[in-house]
Amino acid sequence: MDQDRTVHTLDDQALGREIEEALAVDPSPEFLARVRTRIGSETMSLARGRAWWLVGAGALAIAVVAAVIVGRLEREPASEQVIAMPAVESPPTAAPAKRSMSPPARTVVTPEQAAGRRRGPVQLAARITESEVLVAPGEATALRLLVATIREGRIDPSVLDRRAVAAPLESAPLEPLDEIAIQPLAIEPLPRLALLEGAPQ
Amino acid sequence: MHERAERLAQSLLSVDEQLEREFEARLVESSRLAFRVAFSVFRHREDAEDVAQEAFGRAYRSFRKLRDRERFRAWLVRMTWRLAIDRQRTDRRRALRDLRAEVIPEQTVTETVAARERAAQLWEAIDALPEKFRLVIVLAGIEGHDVREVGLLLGLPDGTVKSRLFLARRRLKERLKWTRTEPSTR
Repeated sequence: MDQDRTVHTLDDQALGREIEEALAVDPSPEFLARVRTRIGSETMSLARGRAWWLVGAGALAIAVVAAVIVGRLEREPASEQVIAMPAVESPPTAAPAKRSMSPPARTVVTPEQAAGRRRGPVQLAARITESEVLVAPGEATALRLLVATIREGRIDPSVLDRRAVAAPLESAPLEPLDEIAIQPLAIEPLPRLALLEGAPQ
Repeated sequence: MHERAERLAQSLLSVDEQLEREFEARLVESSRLAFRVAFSVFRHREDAEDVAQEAFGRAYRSFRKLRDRERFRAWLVRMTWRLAIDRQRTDRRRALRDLRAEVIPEQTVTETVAARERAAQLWEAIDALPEKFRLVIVLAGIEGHDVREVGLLLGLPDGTVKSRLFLARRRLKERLKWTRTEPSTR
């Protein structure tokens, strides 16, 4: 039976033509419109995404700028030292440090205290931007008062030297130190315990 | 300040408009190519259009990198082919669909039964080819692409394209030889 059949062998050209004919199919007329509709929805979602991205970037930039500004504002008061020429009635703004035999405690001039001094009834004030000086508030007040009185000419600074020479500070006499006597320890047994253990009475 | 912002917005808008226009031109030029690549896998118009739409959607998202014409077409062909193959593998219903049941309406008017049979046999033979031969033979049959154009679309050197075409045609001819016989007139 097979020998009654003729086998057709395709050549390359014929095969190519057949493949082209099989592939010569066009998309439907609505295909392009559907693609454009889909692209349009992609554009909207991309634009929304981009808008949100811009909003987020703007918010981040504002946050960074605000942080920088706040940081600078906080640093400014701490870096300033107020050398005030207080008026007579200017009250000390901080409680004086407790006096003891040990060296006086040093307290830090807080930014709030410095701000308070600036806002107080100060006649002359000079602001110098430099690092803080750790001075006891009472001593700082006394020193400022001294400087103010010297500048106003109410006292002569040379008097301070003569006074120091004339009347040196007398320190309180020291109490003599007693020798420390340490009594030796005598360890005696407890009476009841001694009875229990059968110790001779 | 406002003028500068407006100018910047205008320039961005004009860049977007230009991209839109370029993409539209690519879409019109390459729609048939993408559809036929997908059709060569499914032989079903609706499925082929779905996959081609998906490929164009992805091309749109990446269009800034694909503005060059050759690059766009090459990317589109490979993406469409990959999407079609992947969908065919995952959809078992499509693999079991009978080709003879898929009729292209306008073709049934002029196409004879014998021609449809021949087309069915041809597709079966093409489906039996290894994937790399299949794609080459399909692209060579779409829009009359020559060896150089197929090479550009697939990113292959001309020699590789020629050898794959040769091997693909040889296998197709062998397979079709046994299916295309007619009774001897003796």
